[in-house]
Amino acid sequence: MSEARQFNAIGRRVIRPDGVDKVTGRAAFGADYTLPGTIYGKVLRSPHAHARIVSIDTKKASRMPGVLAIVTGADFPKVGSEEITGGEGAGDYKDLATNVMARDRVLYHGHAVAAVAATSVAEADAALAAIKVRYEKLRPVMDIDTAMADDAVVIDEQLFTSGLPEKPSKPSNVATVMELKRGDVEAGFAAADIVLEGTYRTPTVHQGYIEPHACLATINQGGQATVWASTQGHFDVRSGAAKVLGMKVSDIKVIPTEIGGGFGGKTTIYVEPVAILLSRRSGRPVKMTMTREEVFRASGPASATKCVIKIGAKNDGTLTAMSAWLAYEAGAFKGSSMAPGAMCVFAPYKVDNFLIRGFDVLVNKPKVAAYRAPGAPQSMYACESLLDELAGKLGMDPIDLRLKNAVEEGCQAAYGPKFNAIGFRECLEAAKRHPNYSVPLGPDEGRGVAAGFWFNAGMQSSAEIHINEDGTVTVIEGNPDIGGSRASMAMMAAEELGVPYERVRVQIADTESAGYTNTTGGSRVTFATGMAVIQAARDIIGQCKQRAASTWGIDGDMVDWADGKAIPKPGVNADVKPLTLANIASNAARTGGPLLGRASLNARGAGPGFSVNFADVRVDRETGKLDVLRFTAIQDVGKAIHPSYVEGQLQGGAAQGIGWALNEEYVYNKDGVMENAGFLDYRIPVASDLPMIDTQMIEVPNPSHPYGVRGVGETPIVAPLAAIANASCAATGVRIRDLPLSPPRVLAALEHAAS
Amino acid sequence: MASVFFPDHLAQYTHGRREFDVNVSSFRDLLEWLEVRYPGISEKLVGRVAVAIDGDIIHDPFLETIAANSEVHFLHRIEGG
Amino acid sequence: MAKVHVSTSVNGQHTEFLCEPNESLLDVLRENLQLTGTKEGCATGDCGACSVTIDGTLVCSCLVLGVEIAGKEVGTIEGIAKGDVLHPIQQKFLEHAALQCGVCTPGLIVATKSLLDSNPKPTEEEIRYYLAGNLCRCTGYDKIVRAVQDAAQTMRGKRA
Repeated sequence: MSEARQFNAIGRRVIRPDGVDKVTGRAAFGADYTLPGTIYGKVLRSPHAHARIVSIDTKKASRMPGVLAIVTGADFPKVGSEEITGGEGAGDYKDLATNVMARDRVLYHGHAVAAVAATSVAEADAALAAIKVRYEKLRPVMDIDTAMADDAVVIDEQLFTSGLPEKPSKPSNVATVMELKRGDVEAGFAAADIVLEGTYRTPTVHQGYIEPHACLATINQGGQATVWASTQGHFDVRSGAAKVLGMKVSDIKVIPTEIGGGFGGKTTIYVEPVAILLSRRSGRPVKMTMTREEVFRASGPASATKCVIKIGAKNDGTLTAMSAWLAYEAGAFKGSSMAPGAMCVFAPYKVDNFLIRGFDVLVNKPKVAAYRAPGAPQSMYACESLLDELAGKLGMDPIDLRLKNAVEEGCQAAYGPKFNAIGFRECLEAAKRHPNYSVPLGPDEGRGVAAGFWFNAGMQSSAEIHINEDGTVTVIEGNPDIGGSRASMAMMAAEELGVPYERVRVQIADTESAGYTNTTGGSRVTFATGMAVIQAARDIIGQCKQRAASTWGIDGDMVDWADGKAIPKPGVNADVKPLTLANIASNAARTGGPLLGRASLNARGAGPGFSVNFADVRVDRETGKLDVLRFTAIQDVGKAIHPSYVEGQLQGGAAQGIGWALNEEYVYNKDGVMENAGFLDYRIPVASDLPMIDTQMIEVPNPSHPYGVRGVGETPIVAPLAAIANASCAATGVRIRDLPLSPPRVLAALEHAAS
Repeated sequence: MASVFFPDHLAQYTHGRREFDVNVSSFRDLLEWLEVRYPGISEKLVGRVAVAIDGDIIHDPFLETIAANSEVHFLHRIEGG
Repeated sequence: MAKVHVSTSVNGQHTEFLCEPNESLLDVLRENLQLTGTKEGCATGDCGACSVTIDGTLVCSCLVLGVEIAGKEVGTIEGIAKGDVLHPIQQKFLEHAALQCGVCTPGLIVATKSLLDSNPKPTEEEIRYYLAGNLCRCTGYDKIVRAVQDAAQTMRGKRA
């Protein structure tokens, strides 16, 4: 239960414990590890977007200087179809294995076909060039409309659409359909004073983490592997690699390195099983890193989408009906973020009648992976844009329109359950009052508002706490630190134990040293792993009270814990001095042995996060360029454990959302080859593109967490897309529904409007 | 009586029925109750869906208690990114 | 092709190494010299994670050949702190939480030092344009700019 209390450690802006290593270059990321004898693995990738593999000849390559191992799909075990019990991807281990290394077909340009390990990168590259692959080209399917057409080339002849009342007779590129509904939409639209409809498209985009995928794998002759991997979830690397290679889970140890960004894109595996196999064949440790080009072409971008939204409302702004038709590209294998996209699209609003239909669609592009609130940015971009059009038509302030229909505690969410305590209204009201909302606008400038939402996850976490003999505290947990979570864990342990933050050290332990812990993602670490750390601390406190009781010769239930010390309860007649952690720990051998606290849990009660963003943009009518003048991100964060790092999530997510709206897209040629596979032409925001990003943290505590924590990491990317698009419309006078709003498109739209 | 809700994509396992009123005190009991009426349904649900009990979303529930007027919603599992 | 022997100075230390003629300075630093603080983000000069200075000029080490630094003075992230004393830029990055994952941070700190050495009192716009070649995907640049502004003020104070 959340307690309204004064905190000592929580809420301060402490220096993070891994900070010094990160500002001095000492922190070791995936590509920074080497063992004696390390050799280098490189992957041969398909030059075609869709083709049958006729033959692979590696004879010449295997004889080349420095080459110690070559593998193809034939060297991997056959993996049966088995659902990956993870999240919304509805992925299958067979697909995962086939994505790691193609078997009989290549399904996207860049799909891995073979891999070589050699004593230098140059030798490995030379060997790749000597591998002869014969392909029979097939017609690639590159977009939703083509993939869903009746006469579409079917990418997987064994795939029959699931989710329909009856299994279809013909295979399809539509892997899954899903429907959510409430009430009677037709009646709802009929009762409306105004009905609007719009079709919105978003492109394939990439998470854009600055550190490419990297790992170092070594396996001994007994079959025990050790892998250093840059990953958000080393337990998932272990389980994925075990499935792909047919190994026992206990034979793979994964050590998480520092990770240079993930945002969901590093919650799966690409090169890790390949490196293990190459290590087995060569007898040497194998280092594999992706180039930036490989990251774009062959990791997991976010789904391109086509979303059709229809909204009916009364003249006073009350929503009467909403419908959504949402098609998400899954890439080469089924499992896009269509389901969460469908569950989020109308989540902020009270509406009695809605119908949402979602489609998971195969195309010959890389298999999509999670990207920060997966699915929500795309569908909510569409809905928040149409709501803006509605506000305009009704002459209503866009915030007022949302206030009129905002969900609150006790409302039934569009995806089913009733909301517990949430802060959407509070964010809307804060936005209205915010000084930035009344900054006057000049010519060619416009302001846009949008709402954002994400469920936030709970899932499994483990934590251990050791009290060292000098009373310092070691916290062992299993979540790679992508945003400052080591600091938050230390602060929560310090708060609970009543000791200074500086006396707590957090270790992110490998898969053999930490208890099983789900991935760093889903905005779950501060919430769920934080809960485990707090529970482990309470376990320690319980033990310390017992130890103190034994030391004093009184009963355990006569001891209290306060300010980091065991003291007799008020009224207990005992002439004793308080015992600190250091006192108890240094005496531990005599009172029962080392002090070890632990907790493991399957967290429930993750609180959803709502946000409201507004942006001011100015258009240059000669070039079509949109400049972001001001950006304000307001979000219900539950309880900010470390305010600077919570602000950092709001600002970082905003920057990604702005990039998604303004510039980022995969550009494909007619052969299904990405033409802009580099940071020059896949343009993410740079420092000169953005203003200061103003944040306001609203704290509506989550009653299910001891400190009121609500996940904060993912919600920030959702609202910026429509906030920018709505601002652009206000600035230009022209509504563009397809992202990105890059200068050529804005210019074309302006010229079209003028003609 | 607890109210139990199935979204459309899971209602295929309950012959289209989306709402139930059930007298059970734990999620395990709910699964047993459903299995009696729709043999084979547990396999489709266990390890594959998430459940919200009174607004709290849980992956892999089993031992969770269900109160007399709880609301139980079956949902897609959402992991995030 | 035979390796080339290069004699140079890195962070003030005389350094010698052998490298292929076509090896980048980035690879030389990371592989031959085991100075892994400089990072590879793209190897095409677009992200700035590999930023170093050569004779005081800020460059992307992925766009420089190892053989080109013969006789020159190379400055990397490892040379910014002096022993166990952090440079004010490093200290301000920590205080302002101007890093999340930290992979772009070495490049940004090297670039920031290069900026402040040549322009001790930059405007916000000057900071943003100077650092436009250093991509960060985590922070949105807000806290980075504030850290640079604060570092500039501290460094001006120290000089005074």
